[in-house]
Amino acid sequence: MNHKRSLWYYIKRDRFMYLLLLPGVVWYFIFHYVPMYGVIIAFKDYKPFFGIEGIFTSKWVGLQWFRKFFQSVYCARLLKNTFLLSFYSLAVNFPSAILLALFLNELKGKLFKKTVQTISYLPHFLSAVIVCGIVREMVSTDSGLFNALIKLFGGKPIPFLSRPEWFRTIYISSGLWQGIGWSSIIYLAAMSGLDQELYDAARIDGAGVLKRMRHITIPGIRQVISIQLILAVGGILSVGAEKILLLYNPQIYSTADVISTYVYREGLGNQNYSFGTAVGLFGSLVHMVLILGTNFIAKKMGEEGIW
Amino acid sequence: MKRKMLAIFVAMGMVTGLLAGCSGGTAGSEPATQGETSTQKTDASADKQTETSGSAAEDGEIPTITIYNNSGAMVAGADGTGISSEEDYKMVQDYILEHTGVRVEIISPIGADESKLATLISSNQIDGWWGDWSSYADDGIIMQLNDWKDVIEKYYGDDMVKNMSDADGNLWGLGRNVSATYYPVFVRNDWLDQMGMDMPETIDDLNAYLYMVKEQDPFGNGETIPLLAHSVDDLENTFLGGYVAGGTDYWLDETDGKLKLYWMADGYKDFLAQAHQWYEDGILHPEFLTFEDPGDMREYVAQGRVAATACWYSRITGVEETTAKNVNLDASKWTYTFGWNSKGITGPNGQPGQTLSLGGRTGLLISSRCEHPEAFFKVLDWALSPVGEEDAVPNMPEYATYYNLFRDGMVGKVWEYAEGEDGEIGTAFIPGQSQHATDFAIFDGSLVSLRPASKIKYANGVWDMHDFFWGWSGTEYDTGGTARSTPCVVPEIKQTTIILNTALSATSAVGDVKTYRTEEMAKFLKGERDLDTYDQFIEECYEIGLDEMIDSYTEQYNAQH
Repeated sequence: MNHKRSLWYYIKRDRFMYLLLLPGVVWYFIFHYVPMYGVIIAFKDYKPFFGIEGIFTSKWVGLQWFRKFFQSVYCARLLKNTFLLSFYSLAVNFPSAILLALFLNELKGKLFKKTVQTISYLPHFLSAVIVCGIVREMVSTDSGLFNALIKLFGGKPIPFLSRPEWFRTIYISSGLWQGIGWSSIIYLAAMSGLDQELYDAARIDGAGVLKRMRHITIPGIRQVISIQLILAVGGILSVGAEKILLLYNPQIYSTADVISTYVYREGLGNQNYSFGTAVGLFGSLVHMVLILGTNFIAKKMGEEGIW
Repeated sequence: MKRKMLAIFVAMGMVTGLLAGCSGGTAGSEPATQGETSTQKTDASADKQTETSGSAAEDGEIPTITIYNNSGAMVAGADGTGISSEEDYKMVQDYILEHTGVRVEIISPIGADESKLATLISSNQIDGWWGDWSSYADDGIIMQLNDWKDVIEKYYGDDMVKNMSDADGNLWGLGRNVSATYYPVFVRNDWLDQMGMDMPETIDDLNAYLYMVKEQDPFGNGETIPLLAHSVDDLENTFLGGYVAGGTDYWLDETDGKLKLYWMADGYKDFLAQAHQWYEDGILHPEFLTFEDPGDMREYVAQGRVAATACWYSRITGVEETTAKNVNLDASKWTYTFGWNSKGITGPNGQPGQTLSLGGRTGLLISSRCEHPEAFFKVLDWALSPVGEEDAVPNMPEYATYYNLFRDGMVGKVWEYAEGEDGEIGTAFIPGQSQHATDFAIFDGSLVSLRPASKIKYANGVWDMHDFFWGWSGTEYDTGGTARSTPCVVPEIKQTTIILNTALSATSAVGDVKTYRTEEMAKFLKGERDLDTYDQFIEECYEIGLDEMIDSYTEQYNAQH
């Protein structure tokens, strides 16, 4: 007999689960859904002085702020820089975290494994100010490690942070150092759920480390990789301003200036929140298209999508 | 059962944590929001506010004015912070309350935290802050101060009132900076002596010194910085008058009747050529355009690496005590590590390099939502009035005002009046007490003549270099007189009244031109772009939107003349 139970039955049965879920839902509702009405300031001449009331009472200006962004001579450069910085970060950081997780998973010595994990996680907890301070010191022409090495081998010091061609390398490599350990956690968690008997059987069949990775581990975590990739691609235009603001200067705007730093200068710096919101809204639309597109492609390729 | 109980506790804990987290950030919890700053000390200042806000509520009738002190004075001290201890803060606050019946609350940022300022303004948490009045006046965000014009003129002078007024004569704030010369070329006294040279009087003299320093590398290890600056602006403010007739002022182009910018004037290319030569020859540090100001600038000066400077004066004067110790300055020969030519440095055109800085439109602004503006002006009137007999302390000069209470903290607690070897009365920090307690420094733009006691001497009787320089350089400027202690180019066009119209600000032109110019200047300076293409660069600026800016400037200039 197919007995259909009521919704309340399931809620009552899993009440503790729902109770655990509640803080997250409330947090999302308060901080992500409630403020959404504020997006209308992208179409208004909003002044922060007038607070929440000003959101409704400000003058409508149509697409003025979008025009300002798209008419800027820097619009194309900003999009290009943002995309390239994100793309290179994704291309380097995404597989690196998987590789680290794969190798950590193969380590036998627990103490060594834990030590490596802890050391690789630690930079994640440093603030951008500290990370950028370290980077600035490392690449300084006066006392920086890299220039000391260059001088040691008879070279001429390179003012790395004054050269546009070096910015992406510095940004991405420091990002890799800071985030690789933390990003690998989710893959390690996925790997811990794989059936150990598969590994035992593979060993008996003579499979080495690389073959076990290729034929057991990677296929086993393929779904997690797919979802992570979809989410990462979706955020490809959301390069954070904080770290770049701490590292860049007008000499390297040609490669370092991205949408978020431009919005910071032109929007927040001049207290033009409407402009900042308009550019943010544009970014969100791009994110949505990218997520939908990647999800569609992933599903077409037989992978799991995020919905 | 145990697992269920555990799950209930965990869930309850998470919900409680979430609710507590949410309530901590709501607009209603004012002290918590005000405490969201970057240092522990500033958090302490928010705690002070929590405490005093509570008592204010109990007192009921006491008018309270809250000022966000983002003037930058908080970082004027050598240690980079001017925040008082809780005890000193309370002492000053109670003293003001006792004498004026007004409670003054100060929110202390580190530097000038603009992102926090917008939040504080929009949530109506502050009655006053430092800013450019033209950014707020049109939108009704700040209060028109015409009713208090007399009292402001009395304490700030006519020049400052003009800077803070619009073309119709409406007064919008209390100015921050008096018109003065803030960019003298400071030169290391001991190194000048070591090179066997006199204080430079011309760019050629200066170059002779800079190149010799570069060659001899007195700091060692190739780390001597012959000329310290952190931007092209620094170099312009220090030297441009020696190349361009109007210095950094606007100029009227008679060929088309339009108001032009200084970097479009004759002579600018020559200036840029000199700056490029300095960069090329290592006179300027290869990374000088990445220097953080004031942090890096002060550090390099204090380390003793710098031979001469082209930057804001306090980068040198503010760290003199540390610098003198670090370089083991021979006090029998020199009072300070750095000296400067009181006649200024003359450029190839025979004019002094510096342009007189006209104070500008930045000042203390009063919110249009301020409920007690009269209380604010009551405090102002008291702060700059002569100290009454009941508050007289030993050695206090007759002309003393309460200004120092706001600038440095309590007399007898943090500082005291002291007589120098020359018999002049100044002030000295009491050894072991906190220094640079500048939370309440909200009247810094007032007439220098009303605050002559704001000079500080070291224990050995030597004037603090910062105050000595300021007393020498700034005293004569705010009186509106023509006598000036530093020769400089005096702008003919009142820059403070030329304001871009709001419609233009809403386009991308202004920001893009500024960004483009900043980037291209760096290229010219570093030799990445040929100076022969400078005219082409100006054409490119026109294409981006410079023409609209020029038209806007010209329109306003014509309306005023």
